[in-house]
Amino acid sequence: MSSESFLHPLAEVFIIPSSISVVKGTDVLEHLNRSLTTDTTQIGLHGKQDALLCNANGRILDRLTLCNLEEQVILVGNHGTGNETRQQLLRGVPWDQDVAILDGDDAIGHLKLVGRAVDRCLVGLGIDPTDIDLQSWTEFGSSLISRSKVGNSFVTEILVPTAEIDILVDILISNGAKRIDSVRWGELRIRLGILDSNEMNPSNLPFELGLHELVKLDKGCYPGQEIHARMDSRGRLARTLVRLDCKTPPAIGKHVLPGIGRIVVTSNAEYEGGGVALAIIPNEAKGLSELVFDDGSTAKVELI
Amino acid sequence: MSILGGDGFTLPVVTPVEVVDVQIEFTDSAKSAMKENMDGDESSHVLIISAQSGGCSGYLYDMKIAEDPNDSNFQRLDADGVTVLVHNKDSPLLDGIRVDFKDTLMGGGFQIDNPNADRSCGCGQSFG
Repeated sequence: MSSESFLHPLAEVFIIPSSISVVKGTDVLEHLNRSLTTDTTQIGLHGKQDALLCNANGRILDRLTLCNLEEQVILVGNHGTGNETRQQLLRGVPWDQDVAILDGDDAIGHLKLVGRAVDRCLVGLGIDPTDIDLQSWTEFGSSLISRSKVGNSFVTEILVPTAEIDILVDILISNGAKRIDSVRWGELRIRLGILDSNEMNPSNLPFELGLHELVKLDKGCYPGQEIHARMDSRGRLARTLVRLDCKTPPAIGKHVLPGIGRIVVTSNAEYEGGGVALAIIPNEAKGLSELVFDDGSTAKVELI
Repeated sequence: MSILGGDGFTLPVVTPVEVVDVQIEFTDSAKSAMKENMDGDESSHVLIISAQSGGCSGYLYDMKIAEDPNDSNFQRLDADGVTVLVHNKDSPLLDGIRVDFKDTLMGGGFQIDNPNADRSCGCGQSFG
């Protein structure tokens, strides 16, 4: 499914810390539509959709993947943001709408599988990989499975009741998957260009992170829409997220580079033979092939 | 078991709200427009002013004429014979607002000036 040489020949599985909320009620999709950056009103049963929750300044509060289970929508958000997201969504429930929000952090687990032959592991579980697509969640027992495309690769996602997560991981391992830790996941996600709360947080605007597909300016108002529309109409960005490929990754945080100015390294990882990082750099610098840090080290700039 | 059938879910999340006694100022033109819109139904219907999520700045105003819900969660105000209701949960957001009515072709209609708002969007319907 993917040809990247750094990927496992079959699959690697990671239990990814996520915030899980369940929004219930007859008016759920309408309520979410007023708050999120993409149109939620047309999600079908078992439909999957990604969206951002932003503040009035257009900055990212959370990234959410939705799963519509008919008057119950599961929201999979960034790790550590669940309480604030739930409060944010709850504060705006109108008096005459039927919407309730549950904290599912301890109830549902979230797995990600990446590799060059993830489907072979899934077949071993009795799952028909052709049933899994990008726009919906497929039921498998008490789990839900979907897929996302990241660059040239695919990431398979599984939502599973917490009580069953270890059993499912064991079955995946017995079918060839390798369980990985947060260090290996950190490397994989940076190399694949998967963003997390290190990038998607109130320091950043969606367009700076290349999240144009998660902002639908024609859907009507939502918090942050005025700022997003202004940025879109101006067509200019001050900063851009890039991947840095280097021998030793630069430290997370702010760096001032001669002739370029301030860059912010949001994530980094080392692997055998090199290092990678994600960094937000001045937009004018994105055309450079290489950045030179003040200690003389260099990093190749790759657009995500 | 389904994905939502397991253990570990909390009871519905609640947001504590500090209920305040709502004061609203209605301009003469707003009172007149409200009466006109009630169309003689003042005895059975009320005007409900509320806030809901959305809009560019976080919250949207909503005004609707509805049958009196006779719900103790609402605060009742009188504006020249028109009963205005504000839900307790919206009281901190709407206390102190000034409701005006502008009879103009462009940008006309009810206008709300809200001292609680840190920001409002260009269309005037959203605040935060």
